[in-house]
Amino acid sequence: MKIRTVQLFSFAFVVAAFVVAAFVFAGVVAAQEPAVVAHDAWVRVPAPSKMDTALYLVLENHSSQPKAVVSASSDAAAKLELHEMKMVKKDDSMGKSGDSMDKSMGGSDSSMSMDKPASQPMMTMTPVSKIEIPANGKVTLAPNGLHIMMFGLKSRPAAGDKINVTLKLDDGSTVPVVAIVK
Amino acid sequence: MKSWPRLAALLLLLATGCRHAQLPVLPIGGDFGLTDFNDQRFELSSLRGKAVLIFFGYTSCPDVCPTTLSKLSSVYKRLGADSQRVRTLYITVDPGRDTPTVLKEDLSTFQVDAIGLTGTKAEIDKVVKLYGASYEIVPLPDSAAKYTVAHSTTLYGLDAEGRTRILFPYEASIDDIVDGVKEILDSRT
Repeated sequence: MKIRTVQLFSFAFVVAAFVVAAFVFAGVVAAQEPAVVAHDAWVRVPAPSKMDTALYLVLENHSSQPKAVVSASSDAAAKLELHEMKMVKKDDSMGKSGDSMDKSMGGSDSSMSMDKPASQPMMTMTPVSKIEIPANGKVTLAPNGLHIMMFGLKSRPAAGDKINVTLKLDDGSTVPVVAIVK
Repeated sequence: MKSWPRLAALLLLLATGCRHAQLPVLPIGGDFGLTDFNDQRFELSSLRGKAVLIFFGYTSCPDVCPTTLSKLSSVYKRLGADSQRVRTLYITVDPGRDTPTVLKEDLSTFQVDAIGLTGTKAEIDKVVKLYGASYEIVPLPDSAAKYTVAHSTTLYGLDAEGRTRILFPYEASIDDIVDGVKEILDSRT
């Protein structure tokens, strides 16, 4: 009987130890989980004559502080830049929104338009200084919007290849990204 | 009350009849000549008898132009046998970078019966004006891109006589374009 009681106590102790260990482990994992995580990252197969491409992904911010991507780098390309595709109306003067648009190159001769029918909106690509991720929110980089340009690819990626990219946040931390080429 | 079914049938008949007969001829567009991606002179008039889809773009465009071409690949697949009656013209607004060779190479990856067209700036500007399109070269001194080309994204649908019949906005779905092309193919000339 006494032996049995001891065995029961031993069993209970072991279970309790496991429970405590599990909580401690979970706590450690939670503490180590980065505030910003990236997923569904992909890179478009570059056009045959080009060594540039675009990277798309979803960034989730699990913290209560807003975060922002301020730069990106990769061993696979010479330079990465944060860009945004936007539809602008000709009348919006391409620069009124405060971005880096500049109509000076070539003067008015470098643009063509026709007043009738109503002038069509133009799609334009603009570098941006940061990509914000709201607190406890997410931002999606997708075709026709925000994306990360990869200029000067060091080798031509094929569909199915994986490319490692590192994003730098405004708080100094980094986010590792593995993007699939497709 | 008994006349309702007859009236409904009449309205349906009118609507069906109008669908093809009244596809408008738009007051933009017209014939032009440029250089094709085989470095040969190209005249739009050589495509009489086919429906023609035209859009303006440039091959360094990382996002919009490949998206449009991917969409058109799906349109061609969906058109099946009718796709033989449709040609696509990709007119570059970046002739400085888009040589015939570059156009040929970059268009080869898309399943679209497309002809890449380039020319002198004056020739391209003439076509841009003819179709009411627009573009603008925007310098990006701090970017590896050096410059980008903002451009309108309309897809122009021309009938077998080379007349502009439908303007598809960039947001047009594959279904929208397939339906529109079929309507153009069925339109009376």
